[in-house]
Amino acid sequence: MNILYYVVHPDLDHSNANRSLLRKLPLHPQLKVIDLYDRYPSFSVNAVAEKELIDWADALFFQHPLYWYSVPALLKQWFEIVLTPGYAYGKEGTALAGKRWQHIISTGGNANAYRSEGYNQYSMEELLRPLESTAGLCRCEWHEPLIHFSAKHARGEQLNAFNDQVVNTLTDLLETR
Amino acid sequence: MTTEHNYFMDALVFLGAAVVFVPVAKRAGLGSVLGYLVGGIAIGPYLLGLIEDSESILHFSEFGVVLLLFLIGLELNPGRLWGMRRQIFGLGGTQVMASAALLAAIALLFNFDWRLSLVAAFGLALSSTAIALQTLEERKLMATGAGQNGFAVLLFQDIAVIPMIALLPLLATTHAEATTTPWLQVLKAVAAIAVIILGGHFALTPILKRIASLHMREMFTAFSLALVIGIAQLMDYVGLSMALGTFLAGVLLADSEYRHELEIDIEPFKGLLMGLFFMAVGMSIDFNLLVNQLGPVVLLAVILIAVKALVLYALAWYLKMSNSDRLRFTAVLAQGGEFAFVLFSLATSTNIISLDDQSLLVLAVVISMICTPLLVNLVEYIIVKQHQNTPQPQDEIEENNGHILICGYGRYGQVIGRMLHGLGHSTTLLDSDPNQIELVRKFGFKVFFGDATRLDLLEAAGIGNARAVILTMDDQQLVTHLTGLIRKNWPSIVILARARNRQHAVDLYKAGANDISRETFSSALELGSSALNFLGMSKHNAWRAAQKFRHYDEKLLAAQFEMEGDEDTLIQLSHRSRRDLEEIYRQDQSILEENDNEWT
Repeated sequence: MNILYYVVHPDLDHSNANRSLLRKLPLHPQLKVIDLYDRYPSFSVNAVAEKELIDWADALFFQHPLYWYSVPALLKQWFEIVLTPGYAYGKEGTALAGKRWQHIISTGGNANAYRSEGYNQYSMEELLRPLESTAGLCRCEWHEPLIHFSAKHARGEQLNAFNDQVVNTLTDLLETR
Repeated sequence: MTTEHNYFMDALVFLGAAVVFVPVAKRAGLGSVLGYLVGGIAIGPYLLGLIEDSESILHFSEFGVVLLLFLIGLELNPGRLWGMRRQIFGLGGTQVMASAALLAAIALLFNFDWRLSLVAAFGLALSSTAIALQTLEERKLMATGAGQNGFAVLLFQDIAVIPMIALLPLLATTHAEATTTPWLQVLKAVAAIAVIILGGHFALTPILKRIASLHMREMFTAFSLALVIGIAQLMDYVGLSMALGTFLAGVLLADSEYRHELEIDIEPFKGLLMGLFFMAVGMSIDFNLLVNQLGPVVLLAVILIAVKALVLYALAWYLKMSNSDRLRFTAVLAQGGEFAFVLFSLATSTNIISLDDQSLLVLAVVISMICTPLLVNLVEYIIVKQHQNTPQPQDEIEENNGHILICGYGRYGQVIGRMLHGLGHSTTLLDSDPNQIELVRKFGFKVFFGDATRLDLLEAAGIGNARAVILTMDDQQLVTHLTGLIRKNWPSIVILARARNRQHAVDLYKAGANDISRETFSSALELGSSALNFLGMSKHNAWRAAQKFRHYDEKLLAAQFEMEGDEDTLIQLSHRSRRDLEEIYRQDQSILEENDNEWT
């Protein structure tokens, strides 16, 4: 299975959790890791190049922090430029149909904050509905996001546990035909 | 020695009359044509008697019409000419045939000889290209429906006069002796036209390029004139219309990048010769005949104008022209023309028309010519009155798809030109170096060669309907000067200019540029951001830093521009930029120290 893995963080140098996960990702010819902010520092996303990558891939991963209950600005820009009607959705827009779609999300707040009684008032599942709908409209297979709560100060065990979870998911997929 | 003196004296009289009468006529809103005509009458044999030989001057100045047709040809590339074929032959053909038929019928009604009637009718059916086009151009009506259709009619007439002249001998009562064998004559004519087409197509552009790269204006002018005169002589030699030959040469050069340069060089000669032509027409009025035969002459002129106006108005109505176009189209073309003179004198020499009849006809034509400016004025008056009474209708001038004019097509301009052209914008390029522009012509750019500081060239390149002008020359002073010049003459046009440095940027804003780009600034920012990236900053952050610096610096520049508006323009330029730079460095320290802590 070909995996397209986007890392989307505007300031990777200052995100310990995201950087440490990135270092753990396996080197594999069927896994393409792309740092979106490095690729398009001025937001001029090249739709043609991205679509080529998508066509190659069987699974799409997006690793990013949760900003304002959503994706970082450049990933939103990527959605807008790349997921066009006739390509990703709408009549004959079947380029992404059947592909796996999964987010790897880091948050500042802890898991308790993402509950109806927590200070974010909604569960993560509810908050991420727009992303789920995005994947749904593209006829992708939505997989529950892997969420790293309280990532900002994560060290040692906690960090390793989450990173292993991601790496295992990827290696399992790479081994399936 | 005395003859030479006479030439100068003649020139002085003509130029003096033009300078006295034309401005007065223009000021009075009557147009230059009437001024020249009246000037001609004044210096002619019946008033001041300063010039006697009006006939040879008329003949000489007909060359103005030849130049005029060359210039018209330059405006019409073969494609456009082909596109106008229905207008030219349909509209033009109908106008000539209908007018001639009506005029001939009236003449036969008065029991004139049928040959006389026929020749007179066809001669009078032709309008005056010189007067009509001068009037259309002077009043800026060329782009209107009246102008376009009028031009088509005039073009047909210019073509139609050739068979008329050719067929004239068939009507002759006394046969002129055949000079050469007819097939040889035809062969010569075909050969001459082939020479013009092949030469114009293959040889002229390289020659023009060679001459242009000498950078000697007078050489270009000399060649342009020699070219036109040469073609005219060739056509004359083989017995074809000089005007048609030069028109053909003009059409062939219409796609050349030197077209505007040729236009500008020929234009003043054409203007002066046309003026001379109008004056000669004024001088040729035979006042003795006018007084003796007042009734018939006036009647003839009135019939001539009325019949032509009727036909023209009917055609305009049939073509559903707008009201004002209809009136203008009618007024501008309702007169006899210079080809009538040629036709009638030829008919006289072959005894179809008597000398007395010829004088009468010519006089009527001249009177109809004098009436044209008056008629046009009357029509304009009517149009204005109508406009005042009815709510303002839509603009009649066809909206020319706005193009973008790029002055200077070196490395800098090329990037802009390629980008705009690639995105499907129509771009017109102007450069003074023939080598820069040669190549891009092949790719569908409209390219013109010449000095952009000449207003007439800018106008010729279509600045009037351009959506924006982009100035990219590397000569700072030139760009500043040009910005001011364009701003003054076209107050509402968008001017984008390439600035060399801060000071130049300020100067350009002052001169009226809408936006500028400092040529080194953007690329310096790029390299600076690359440096930050190599120093370990992420690409995105380096990009943001460069953007931030750009905004900050542009703000400084704007402040500097505001400040210079009112104070110390006396400080030396070098001092000024040095002082500014110190100020900049001082401010840099405070502002860029701000920490950038937006992300977690």
